[in-house]
Amino acid sequence: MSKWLTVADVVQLLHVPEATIYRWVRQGDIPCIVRRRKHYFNQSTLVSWAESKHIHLEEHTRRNRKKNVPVSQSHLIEALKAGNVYQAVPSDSLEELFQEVALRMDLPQLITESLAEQLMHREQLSSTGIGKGIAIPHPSITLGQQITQSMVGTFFLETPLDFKAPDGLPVFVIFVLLSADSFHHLQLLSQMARFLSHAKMNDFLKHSPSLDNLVDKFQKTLAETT
Amino acid sequence: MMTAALAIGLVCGILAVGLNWSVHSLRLFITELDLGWRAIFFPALGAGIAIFLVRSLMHDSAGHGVSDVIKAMAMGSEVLRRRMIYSRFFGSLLTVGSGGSTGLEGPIVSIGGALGSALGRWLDMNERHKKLLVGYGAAGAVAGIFNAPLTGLIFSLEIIIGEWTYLTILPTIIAAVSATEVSRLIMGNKIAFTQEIAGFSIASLLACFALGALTGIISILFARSLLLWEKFFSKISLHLWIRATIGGLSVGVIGYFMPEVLSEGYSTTQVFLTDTIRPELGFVLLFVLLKFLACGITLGSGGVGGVFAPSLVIGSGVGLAFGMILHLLPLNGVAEDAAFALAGMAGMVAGVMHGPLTGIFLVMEATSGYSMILPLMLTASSAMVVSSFFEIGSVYTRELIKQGSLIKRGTDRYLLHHLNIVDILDKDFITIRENLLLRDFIDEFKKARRNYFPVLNEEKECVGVVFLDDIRPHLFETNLYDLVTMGSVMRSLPVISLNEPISAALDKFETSKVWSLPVVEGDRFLGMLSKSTLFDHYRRELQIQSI
Repeated sequence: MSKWLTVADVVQLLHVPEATIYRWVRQGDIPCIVRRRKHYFNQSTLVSWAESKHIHLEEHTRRNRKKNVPVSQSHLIEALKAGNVYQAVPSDSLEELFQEVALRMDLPQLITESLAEQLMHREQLSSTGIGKGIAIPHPSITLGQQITQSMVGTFFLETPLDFKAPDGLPVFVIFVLLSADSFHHLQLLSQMARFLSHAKMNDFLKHSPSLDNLVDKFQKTLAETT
Repeated sequence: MMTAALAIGLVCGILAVGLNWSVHSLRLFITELDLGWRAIFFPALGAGIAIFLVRSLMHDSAGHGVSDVIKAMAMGSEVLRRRMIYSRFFGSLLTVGSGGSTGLEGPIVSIGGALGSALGRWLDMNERHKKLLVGYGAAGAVAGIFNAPLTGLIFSLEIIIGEWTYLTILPTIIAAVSATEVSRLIMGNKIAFTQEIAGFSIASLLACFALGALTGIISILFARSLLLWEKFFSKISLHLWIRATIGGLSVGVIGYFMPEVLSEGYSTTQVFLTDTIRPELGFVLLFVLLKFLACGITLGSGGVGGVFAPSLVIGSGVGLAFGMILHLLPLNGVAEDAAFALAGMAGMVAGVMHGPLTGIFLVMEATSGYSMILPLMLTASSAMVVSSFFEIGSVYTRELIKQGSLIKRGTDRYLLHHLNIVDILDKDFITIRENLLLRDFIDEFKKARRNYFPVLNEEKECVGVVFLDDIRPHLFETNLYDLVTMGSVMRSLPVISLNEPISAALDKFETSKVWSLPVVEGDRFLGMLSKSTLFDHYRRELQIQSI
């Protein structure tokens, strides 16, 4: 049985407006049959027609569309859950801290091996400290397809560490941001910066909350701001 | 152009007649030697020497003639080199003259084409005019060898030039007429097949549809068997002329049992068309089968020749057999067998070459009779429909289409083919380093004219592109200024390499959904190719080329 496509399907496949499809049908430029005033396109005929004209047919536009949809706030919550919270992480030096981060986070082998170095590299470029004892370390190039979803790992430091932050305060908590693509990266970074600069957030973090508490707090803040 | 067409026509006429005459003299000489079984070595000898001459002395390849000419029309006339004139002449003379089962028309068409191309180069003409001269040459060659001016004209317009405008028709007619006239002056006005056909009944006309379908299918089989033989012989890893010798020997063996399959085979067709000496049905079928085989082996093993004559000869056999079988059925008012043989010829040519008009006019002119026009039209067109339903192109164009090198003037592919990526690169953008901070980017951004920024790493390789649209919402979030590096917000895009065709570049635009893509040569970043600039140039090119 051959599959029949509707005008809406063809709009999706060819990426042209509906009116254009109807014009092509009228001009006889596209193979089509009309039954009860509705237009139908035979799939295999359409495919070979497109091939003869060197036209690309889009299998699914869904994946492409996802890229341009702004990251909703729940993405950050998802990323936090995926990244998990770690308490009292040894932090005598930056190197030691980042090694610890790479080991604790649930990552593919390849990333675990290079993560500490990548984070150090970014830190040498400029500090990721955003003030009030908080830092958001991240690799300077997004990990892209190597990870399936963006994650934010929360690490409370055993001993506060100097991150050369603009306000000079030693850092006691870091949010390691690993983003799956560059579009998400900027959005997540922006949301984090906004959340963390929120009043009372600093006091809350000082108590080294668990993952559930943290997620809860983020969601409440979210509700207040919107 | 008229003078050039006249000159080409005259020379083509002389060459066509000369080739035809030499081949027939050689054939006659060999048959008169009367060597009995030893004659099986002649095709081998001829094919071996032909390939040796063509390859080693003249450094040419032995193509199918017409496909070279069609390729020249698409890719540029320099495909046809001057040495083809000699190499094809002597190559086909030896192959066919010694008994190789193929035709002279393919070689003579490439000779005509090469002649046109050489003349165009000599007169320092532009590419468009050179290609037209190639077309005139093809017309002259066909007109000269068949003594058929209309066929020459139609063949050239339908199969070679593919364009019916004032620029093509008159000079092509001049070439065809002058070639025919020369051939008639030398050889006299001989009609290839003399045949008077009485009127066709409606039942016979309907039968022509069936005959058309049959020849259509046989033409597909014929074209495929040629490819198979070519593949078969290319697997034999011996020197080319040894391959040709092996092929020639096998043809010689076949020819020992049935000498009719050797050489062009027009004399057999002549027999088929004569009422007085009517062969048996079994003989006709066997002949078609063996001719099929012998032609495939000759061409597959590298023999120099064309498929024109074999198509006609096989077509006449198929048509005759069809007519004979029809007569066995209890039907009234069926036309003569010979009429179906003629219709079969037209059908076979139409099917093999995807040129129904050529088939119709060729048979009409070869028999010098208008009375057959209706059955010819029906058979040829239905053969064409059947054949093109199963095959994308004719026996000439199929390989070219697969290689993607059959590009007609004025088409999308042609336009794109002639746009050069280097010429249409955008360079008025600002490149940025991948570890640039957002704070520093803002300064760069003030100077920018474009809304995209190619990102380079330390080795100056393009690793991605930052699009203003992606970061615009965050440009004024000052708390991000020191947190964001450009490397983390760029998109990694497919790169276009300089030597790839624009059509491939356009495919990358389609998949990546952006308006500009980086262009590289090796690892070196050259610039950006944008769809809008491309459209500008595309339209300009279209304006220039449209008729």
